[in-house]
Amino acid sequence: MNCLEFRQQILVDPYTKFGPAENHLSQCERCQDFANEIKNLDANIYQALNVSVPEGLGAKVHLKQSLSEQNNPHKPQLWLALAASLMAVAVFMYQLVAPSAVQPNPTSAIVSLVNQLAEPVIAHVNHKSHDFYAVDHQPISNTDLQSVLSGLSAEIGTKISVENVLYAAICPVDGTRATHLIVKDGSDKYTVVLIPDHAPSKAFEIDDELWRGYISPHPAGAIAVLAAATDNHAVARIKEINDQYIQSFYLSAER
Amino acid sequence: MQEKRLRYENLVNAYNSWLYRYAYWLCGEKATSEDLVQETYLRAWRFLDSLKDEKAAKSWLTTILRRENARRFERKQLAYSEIELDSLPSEREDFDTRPEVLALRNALRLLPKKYREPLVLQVLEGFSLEEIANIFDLPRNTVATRLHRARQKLRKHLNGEEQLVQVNELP
Ligand SMILES: [Zn+2]
Repeated sequence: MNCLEFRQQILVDPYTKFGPAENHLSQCERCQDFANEIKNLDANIYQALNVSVPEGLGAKVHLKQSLSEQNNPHKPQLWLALAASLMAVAVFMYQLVAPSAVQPNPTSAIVSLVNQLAEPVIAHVNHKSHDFYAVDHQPISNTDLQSVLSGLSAEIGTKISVENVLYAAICPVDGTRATHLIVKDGSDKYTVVLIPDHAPSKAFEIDDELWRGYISPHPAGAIAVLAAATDNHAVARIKEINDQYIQSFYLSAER
Repeated sequence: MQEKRLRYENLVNAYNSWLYRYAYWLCGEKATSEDLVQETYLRAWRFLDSLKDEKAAKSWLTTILRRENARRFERKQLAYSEIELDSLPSEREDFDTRPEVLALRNALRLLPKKYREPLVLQVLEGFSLEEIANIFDLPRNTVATRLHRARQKLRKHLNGEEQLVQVNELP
């Protein structure tokens, strides 16, 4: 290890005990001075960062949580509505994506769901942009994807490849701005919806006539993954795909 | 329920100080930092079941707080009222007022956020490079470069070689 490498390493992380660096350090006086300077700098950085915490902050957090629990009992209705919204989106998509496939009377399914739906969702499923579903999908450009995701300050993590995203849009679902993706995984297609702020207390399955799905909580909201019920291969992997997205969806506006 | 509460209380007691300080170095305001900690824990309570491994708790809470801070700017953006500061506003701090520490605290406020943030995680709370890379979803090398530059910039600022200046950046 030479002086430059040593200095680079210590500027990145002055705390690790480096094997090759220790040799260099014992032989090089100038780097000893440098190492001391950086350790001294870091000690001061620590002191500068270590601002005082308001007294009783932990107790205030406990109190606020207890109060919110009293004022905010569970809202199962909201979740029913959301699941219904997703299904309506899914049913509508299914019609467009797979018009030739077997359709166990989707119209009546939509009609019964429409009765429970909020106006924005109806607007959503009827929106012109969703004609896109009828088009044969090509992977979208990274720029397009990022521009959709930046609307939510969301980004797909490195674990999910952009080439697998066939469609991306910001869609109103149950009054919130959801990120709506169509992705492929091998030969399987999935609809992935990230719903900010809407948080189920635990994961649950959607078992619709036409669609199978899985919705699970995420620190940023909820992630729903849907596959056509007729596609056994895709259906079998819904939870796995959901897991992948839970791990890979970051909401990091601040890179 | 009792078990959940106990688990939650442990998380509050163990990490509220860290989260407050992290929030402070994200937003630069005491009152906002306190709000961010509150919001983070409310969210953590709701999603506690999704935290499988207690060892990941610190990273998990840190990620939530980071997200809450981003959400704050989304709301502000909608109002077209404020832009996010890349540098932080200065606020009176009565803790450790030695001149070299004050100079450094001022320099840290001026340091662009992408350098400041990983430094806070590493120096203040001992996050490893891998943990920081995971929280930011960035390659390890990128994090290493930012930490390297962060220390270089602070050194040069303090030596008078290259002054850090207040920078405003559109979000
Ligand atoms: Zn040397």
